[in-house]
Amino acid sequence: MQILRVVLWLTIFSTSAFAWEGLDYYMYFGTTDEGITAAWSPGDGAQKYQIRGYHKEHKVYVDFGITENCEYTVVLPRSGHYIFEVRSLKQVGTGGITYAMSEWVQSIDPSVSTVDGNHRGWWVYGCVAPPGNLFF
Amino acid sequence: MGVWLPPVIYFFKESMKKLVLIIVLIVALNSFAFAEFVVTLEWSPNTETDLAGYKVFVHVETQNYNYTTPAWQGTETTCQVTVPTTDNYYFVARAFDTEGFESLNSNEVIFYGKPTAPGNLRIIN
Repeated sequence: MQILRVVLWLTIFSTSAFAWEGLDYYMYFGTTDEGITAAWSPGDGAQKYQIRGYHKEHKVYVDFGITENCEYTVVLPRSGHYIFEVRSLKQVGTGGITYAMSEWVQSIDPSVSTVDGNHRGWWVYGCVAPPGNLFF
Repeated sequence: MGVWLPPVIYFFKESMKKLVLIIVLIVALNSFAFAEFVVTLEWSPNTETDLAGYKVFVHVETQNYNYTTPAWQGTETTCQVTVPTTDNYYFVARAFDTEGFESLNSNEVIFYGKPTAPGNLRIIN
């Protein structure tokens, strides 16, 4: 009975950080040798934006960078599915932890992400770039 | 089993332990210090002759003012309050007299500690 209870508990509460299973995300395709540019509308009080990607297969975050603009071009470091995330930064100091930060916005969240102007979650699949300069 | 060390090396080892501890403390304190805002507030002075001072209260968006624990209390008409960088903060001031009577709240000011999140995340190219 105790085991059954544990199995039931695990079944009910075994949710992952991202609930991508079974949801209709738009998938952009790219290769690891070309840039893909994400854009966003500015956050109030934001001075900079931090961009990162969540690599689904490896379950790791990849820091893409920080920019003062509302768009950023990323060259995917390896093949796989990426969820893009961005957050606002506001400088508050001159050393150590220097930024106040907003929450992360995720590209799979249709309330904050759009595809062709419509609210829809999306992610990016990066294929391995083909070799170039093939010759005899 | 202890290992005999020449006194100079033993002293050096013990000093290094203390030095490392001090460095860790300094780094930790600096990290916390830079994760905070120092907010400076000013207000117009009261004219009552029996005025005893002022209290400043603060709360974050998800909470209410706790009037039993002011963030600052004193007789000046300016103060500095240190808050973490993780939220937005609401401030009011109250005056109190020598008999302990407290005024109503001043106007409320909001300090936006953190920026709002961006929106409309999309791929453009």
